[in-house]
This record gives sequence, structure tokens and C-alpha cells, in this order.
Amino acid sequence: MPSPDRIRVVVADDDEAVRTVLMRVLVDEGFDVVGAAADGLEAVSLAGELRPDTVLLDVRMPRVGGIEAARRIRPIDPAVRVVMLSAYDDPALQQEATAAGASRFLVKGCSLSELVDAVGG
Amino acid sequence: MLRAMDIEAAMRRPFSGAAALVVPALGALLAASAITGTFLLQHHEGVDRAHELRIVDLRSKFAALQNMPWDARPLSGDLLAAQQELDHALARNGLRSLVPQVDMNVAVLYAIDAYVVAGDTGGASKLARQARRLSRPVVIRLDAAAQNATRDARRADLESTVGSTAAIALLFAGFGLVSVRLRRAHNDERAHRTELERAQAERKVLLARTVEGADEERRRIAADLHDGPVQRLTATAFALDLLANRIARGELESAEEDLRDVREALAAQMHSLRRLMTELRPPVLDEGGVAAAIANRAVQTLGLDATYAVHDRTRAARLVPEVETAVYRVAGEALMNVMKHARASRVDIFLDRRGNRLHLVVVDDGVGFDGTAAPDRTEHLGLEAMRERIESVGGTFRIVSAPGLGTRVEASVEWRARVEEHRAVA
Repeated sequence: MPSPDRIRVVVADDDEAVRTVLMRVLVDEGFDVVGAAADGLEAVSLAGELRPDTVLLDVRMPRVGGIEAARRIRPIDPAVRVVMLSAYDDPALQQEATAAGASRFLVKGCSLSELVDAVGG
Repeated sequence: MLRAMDIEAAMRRPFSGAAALVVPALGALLAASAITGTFLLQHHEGVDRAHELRIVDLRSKFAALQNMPWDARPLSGDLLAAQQELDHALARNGLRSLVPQVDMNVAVLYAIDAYVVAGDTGGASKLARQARRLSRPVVIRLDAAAQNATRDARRADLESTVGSTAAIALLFAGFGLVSVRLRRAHNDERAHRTELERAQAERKVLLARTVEGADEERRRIAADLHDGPVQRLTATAFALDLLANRIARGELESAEEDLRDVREALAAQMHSLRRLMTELRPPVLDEGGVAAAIANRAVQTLGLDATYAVHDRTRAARLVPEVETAVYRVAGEALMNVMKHARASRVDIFLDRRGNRLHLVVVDDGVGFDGTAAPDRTEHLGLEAMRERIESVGGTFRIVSAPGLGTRVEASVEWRARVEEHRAVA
């Protein structure tokens, strides 16, 4: 696993409690959380502006959902790592996320090591 | 020519829808005929007393034929007698040349009816057109003859003229009755068909609404679960990971603080799940009945400080579960609307038994809304959901409101008392 110290992350989740705890956990694990978004549009904007290494996207968000956000982020920064985080453990959704450019698909409730592994690449 | 019995038999058979095409053409012929018959009778008002009596008798017969209940009318006998009398009168009045035409008219009429009964629409339409064409000169000549006879009232053949006039009237009345029978039967059939189509369309809409309503409710529950418990548990799971990290690093003071946060988050989550559970099926509805459940819902929705009252005039009677649930849901949705939109200072909820129905009224003194304007989609769905809830148990729903005048929601449903289960005591 690469050293989290050098990995810059944008976290996007419309649920404030989840967003906050994700940021705390990632910071605690040594990641550099450079931005937080409450919907897909904000996430796309931050990805273009901050050029993070990883964008962690919730699937279901207002305005623009995570999968559509991934689709829009890819052309802006083809090198960015997109990790999807979903409340649904649904293979079809996972397939759609992969097609949109997500490199990993995590289900909410996954272990910390899975999260760190996915975000760190 | 068809026999009278054939006509009667044909007329007593179930009506064929083919008459729809025949009735307009036939109606035009018969309307002209009936007017002429009445006109001819009126021209003889000034004749001798005996003839007046004869006219009165025939006029009453004419009126009786028109007013007689459909099934009780001896149509063919009068029609044939009138035809024979008319033939006779025509001959006496030097109008013998008209006899074949009159006979043909009658024959055509019978034939039209036979075609209609047999379901031959094309044949019936063609004959109806012929009848209309044939009748015109006959009616005009008979009318002229009768008027001439009226001017020379002392003539010896007056009686026969009167007779012929009356006979024409009867004949035309017979035509009119045939027309009425055809039209009534056609209208009945059309009304039944329309009613059936309307009922089928309503059923289809109701079914679609029910399916849509159930889907909508499932979507709402899924969204509630997604946005509530799943998110909270996700946060709690990661918070526990964080806690584990801190314990591993020996940061016990902050770990203890995190532990308390996790404990509070779990308690909040339990509360949220309980509320969802209660919304799905409030236990008080099972234990205390609809009035108690509505009172409970009012506290939850409006809060303890709100001014509201539940007026239960059902003496806490228990109804079948589906009725209680439907009434509770409608009241709950109405209270939610009061909380969200009404800005009311007072809400009253009435539960009342009137005859064999349970009536629910939720009335507030809030801002109201324009009941004639189209509501937005969310409001529309809310109102439709209430309507569907109550209609699903055979009830009715009404909402009355106007800007500044508050809102009144009314639901009414058949009173179906719950049959208490008698448990055997061992």
C-alpha cells in the first residue's frame, strides 16, 4: 500500500455525519483530506480545482449522484482515482460505477482496512 | 306484408344495437307523421256533437297510446286497425290512389323493424331512407284532404273524414310508438354500455393508482432507510474504527470521548428506527384503536405545545383493521400537512358515527390554499394518497380550503365493527 501521507483526498457525501467521520478516519489514517463536498456537482468542481489523487464519492447524492460525478470527473483528470461508496450492495450498480470510471466500489459498513486500501490505491 | 304476430314477436325480442343507424331516419318520418295527426284532429274541433265525442274518444285513445307503459301497449292491433280504417277512408274520400302508398309505408316500417331485430343494419338503413321519401307525398295529400273536409263539415262523408283523420292519427301514433320503443331500447343499451365502460375505466385508474401508491410508499420507506439508519450505522462503524485506532495508540482519553459519541449515535439510531417502525404500523392503533392512535399522532406531529383537540364521538369503538388503518393514515397525512403548510393556531379532529358511516374531519384555522388551483406535484401526491387510502376501503374523501380560511379534510367510510375474538379458556 502506498504511504497515505502523500495521498490527497476529496470526500463527497451528502450525509454530514458520514462525511465528517470519513474525513476524521482518513485523516487519522494519515491521508490528506483536501476537500469535502455535499453533492456530486461540488465534488466535480473540487476535483477540477484541487486535483486530488483520490475522490471518494457516495453513490446517492442530491443534484448530481456519485456515478454521474465520476463520469464528469474522468475527462477533467484521467489520472484521478475514483472510489465509490454506496449504501446498496448491488452488482448492477457496481457495474455501472465501474463503467463510469470508478476503480473501486465499497459498500457502506466495509472495514477500515478496505477503505484505506481503496483510497490509497 | 309481415303479419301482426310477427311484428309483436319481433318487438318482444331483445333489442339489437343496429337500431342506432335506423332511428334518426325513422325518427324524421315519424315526427312529421305525429305532427300531422295532431293537426288533423285539431281541425275538427267545430263539428257536430256526435263527431266531437268520436274525436274525443279517438284523441283519448291517441293520448293513451302515447302515454301507455311500453310493455302494456297493444300496439299491433291498433296499428293494423288504424291502417284498415285509413284504407277505407281513403277510398271513400277519393284518395284511393294513396292506399298502396300508405300500405307500402306500413310495410316498410314493419320491414325496418324486422331488419333491425335481425341485425341487418344496411338493410334497415336503406329501408328507412325509402320510408322517409315515400311518406312525404302521402302526408301532404292526406293533410290537404282533411282540411278540405273540415271546410265542408256538413258533407255526408264527414264521419268517414273524421274517421280517416283519427285513423291517420292512430297510425302515426303507432309509428311514433315504434320509434319510441326503438329509441328507448337503443338509449338503454347505450346507457348500459357507457356505464360499463365508465366503471371499467374507473377500475383501471383505481388499480393503477393503488399500484402507484404502493410503489411510492415502498420508495419512501427505502429512502427513509437509506437516509436514516444506513447512514447513521455507516458513521457509527467508521467511528468504531477510529476508536479502535485510538485505543491501539493508547489515546485513552479521546477514546473514551469517542465511545460516548458512539453510544449517543446508537441511541439516536434506535430512536429513529422506532419512529420508522411506528410509522409503518403504530402499536397504539392495535391496542387503543383509531382515536387513540390519531391523538398519539397529533402529539408526535404537532408537538406538545400545539393547540389541538381530538373529539372522539365513537366511544372508542373498534372497527375492522383495514378501516382503522385507512382512517389513521388519512388523519396522519392531514396533520402532517397542517404542520408543514397551515401555520394554524388550532386544529380539531372529529371522529363521529353517522348512521352506518364513520366520519373523520380534520379542520384547522390556518392559511388555507386555493382549492381551485392545481397543487404542485408533491402536494398533489399527498392529497391523492389520502384519497386513495380511503377509497381503497370503499370510503369517500373531500378537502375544502380557501386562502385565509383554513382547511377542512373530510373522510367517510362504512362503519364496519370489529368482531371480537372469543378466546377459549383452557
